[in-house]
Order: sequence, then structure tokens, then C-alpha cells
Amino acid sequence: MNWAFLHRFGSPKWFYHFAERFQRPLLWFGVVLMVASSIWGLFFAPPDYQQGDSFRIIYIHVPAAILAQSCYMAMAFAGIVGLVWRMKLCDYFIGAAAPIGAVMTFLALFTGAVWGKPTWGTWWVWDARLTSMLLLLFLYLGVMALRNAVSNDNNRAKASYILVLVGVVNIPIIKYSVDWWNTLHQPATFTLTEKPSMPAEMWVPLLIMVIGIYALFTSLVFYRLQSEILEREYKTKWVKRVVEGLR
Amino acid sequence: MLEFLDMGHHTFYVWLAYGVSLFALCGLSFQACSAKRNALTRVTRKIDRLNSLR
Repeated sequence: MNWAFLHRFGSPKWFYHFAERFQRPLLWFGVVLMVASSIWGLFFAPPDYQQGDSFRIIYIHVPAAILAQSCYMAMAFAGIVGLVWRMKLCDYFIGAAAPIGAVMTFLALFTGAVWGKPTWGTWWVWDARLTSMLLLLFLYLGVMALRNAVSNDNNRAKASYILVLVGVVNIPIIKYSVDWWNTLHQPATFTLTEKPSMPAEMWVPLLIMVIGIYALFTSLVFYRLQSEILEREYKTKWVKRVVEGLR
Repeated sequence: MLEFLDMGHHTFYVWLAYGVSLFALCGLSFQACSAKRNALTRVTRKIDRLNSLR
């Protein structure tokens, strides 16, 4: 197989135009799916037999938690590619994705706490899953702070790659914390190999929300990446042409 | 309708979670879109300054 087509992804110019084409459709696709899933989850999904209506919080909590972890994995992948192939788009990607990942982690923690109060009787416990998620939030904040603290582009990129790669060890800890330790947080409800224990009218809106939040995330990363590319590449001819075209 | 809003006596928790999430996601989307607009304005100004120096 010819992998040469992948080289295009390393070009800021190509990526800027690629993002321009897909960011708006992805944004609307994500919004429509998220609204549809919220309506389904709030109005039509049956209440849980134990948790009652408070279970409806999972339609935000679970997608936010999944996205928070996969965003960090994507940043770690960008870190490896950036370190090995010195692709500057990887540095731009980390800068664009970190704030979104931080917000998603915050949402996962916040909605988890709000769900925990009526279910467990407490907002917070120093449980392995919750603590490792809190650590993930600090990692995101650390990456953002580091990027603001270093002014030299090359040093900032290298430092971000290393911090992101060191922090990725936390992802399997989050994933397996419920199996490795006795936690208040329940084990995964969904696995790729087993049939979900929930009825379809409960898990289908969750699946739609997960797809919607990924579409929204991709679109927002595209918008933020475009800003980064414009700011860093403004001396190039193609950016001048883009700006001239908008006048 | 009131029964729906009541969420089986979990009104505060369910709507707080959805409200804060809506606020955060709208803020994130607005910030991303305005970041691009602001970047374009700043870059246009920089390019104009570079052109005027030549």
C-alpha cells in the first residue's frame, strides 16, 4: 500500500484547506446528533430501575469521559509523530486540542459528581477512577501552562511532546482502575465483546451522543488548528493569498 | 410537563448537569469560532504592516 498520501497531513497549507472544507458540516452534524440524543435521553429513555431519572446524566458524563481520554491519546500520538518526524502540525494540534480536552475532563468530573450525590450520597470520594481523572485534568492544565510559559517555538514543541508522552501512562490507569482496585465507581457498562446490559432504548441515545461529541470535537479542533496555523505561518505566500481572498 | 421537569425528584442534579454542559460546550464552540476570526484579523494587520515596511 502506498502511504505517501499521509505526507499531505504534515503540510499546514493542505491541512488548512482540508479543515476549511469539513469544519462547518462537522459542527452542524455534531450539534444535530447531540440535540437529538439529549431529547431522546431526557424525554423517551425509560428511567433506570435503581437510579431513577438521575441516570440521564450518563448521556453527558460518559461521552465527555470517553472524549477526554481519547483526546489525550490523540495528543500523545501527535507527540510521538512530532518527536520522530518533527512535523510542526503535531505541535499545533496539541495546542488546539488541550483546552478542549481540559473542558471535557472537567465536564466528566463535574457531571460525575452531580450524578454521585443522589446515587452514592456524596459528591466526591478519593476513589482510583475519580482521582486518576482529576490527574488527567491537571495534565491538560499542565500542558496548557507549559505552552504559555515557553516562548521559543522549538522548545515549546519538544517540551509539550515530552509532557504529553509522560502523562499518557495515566490513560490505562483510568481505564483499568475499576478492575485493579476496589472502587465506588462501577466497572465499564459497555465492552466491545459483550452485549450491553442496558436495553437498546437506553444505550442507542448514548451511542448517538458519543458520535455527536466526536464530530463536535473534530470540528472545534479544526477551527482552533486553523487559528494556530494562521498565526504561525503568516509570513508564507499561501496565508497572504488566503487573507487577500477574504478582503 | 411538570413531571418531566421534576425528573423523579432529581430536578436539581439532572438540570444542573445538563445546564453546565450546555454552557461549557456553547462557550467552547463560540471561543473556537471567534479564535479563528481574531486570528484572521491579527494576521491581516501583521501582513499589512509587513507590506508597508517594504
